[in-house]
Amino acid sequence: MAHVTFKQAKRRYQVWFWPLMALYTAAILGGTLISKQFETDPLWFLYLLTAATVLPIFGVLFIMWRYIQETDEFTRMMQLEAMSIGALITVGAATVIGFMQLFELIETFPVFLILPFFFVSYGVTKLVRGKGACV
Amino acid sequence: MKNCIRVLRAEHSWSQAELADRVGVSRNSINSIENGRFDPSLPLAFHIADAFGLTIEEVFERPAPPEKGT
Repeated sequence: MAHVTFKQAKRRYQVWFWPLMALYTAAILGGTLISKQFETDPLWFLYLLTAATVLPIFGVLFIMWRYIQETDEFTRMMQLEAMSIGALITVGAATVIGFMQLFELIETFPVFLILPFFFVSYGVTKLVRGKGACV
Repeated sequence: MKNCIRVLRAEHSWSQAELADRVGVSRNSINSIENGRFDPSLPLAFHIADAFGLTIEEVFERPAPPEKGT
């Protein structure tokens, strides 16, 4: 991998992040609008909508991984620490929810909320640690 | 790890951001290294020393050896 500076790594991340988020938003809003045209959503449309929503998210995950590879060692350490704590909080919460479902204390939980929950945990951890290293 | 980055920066009239740009890292990295909260890798320590035109040992204080036994 070619060596890049912190600024280059950050720029490479930001250049892709916002277009991918725009695509994600467009897929959600567009999908909702198009869905109203059908009486019953056809299966092909639902598959297409799933792909259109998930692919930008995979893109964001990829550029996060690339940023961690390319950024400086201090930022990498801070990011990985915040991600690890965020992941532990998410796994812990998912386990609690899973058992609550198993014992029929709650109804089904929308699994897709796991990812935003992780991002919130990771973001809050970074803020609490208060050492910057913002993505 | 103790160091004299703050003094050297002052001598060169460089801000943390300017040194960070010269070394290719974030300002937060320089701040943490300068304050002894983060120990840089050997390559980064070389880059920092090179930026000042000095050797590593002129910039960073050699840490005390680990205690044997006990």
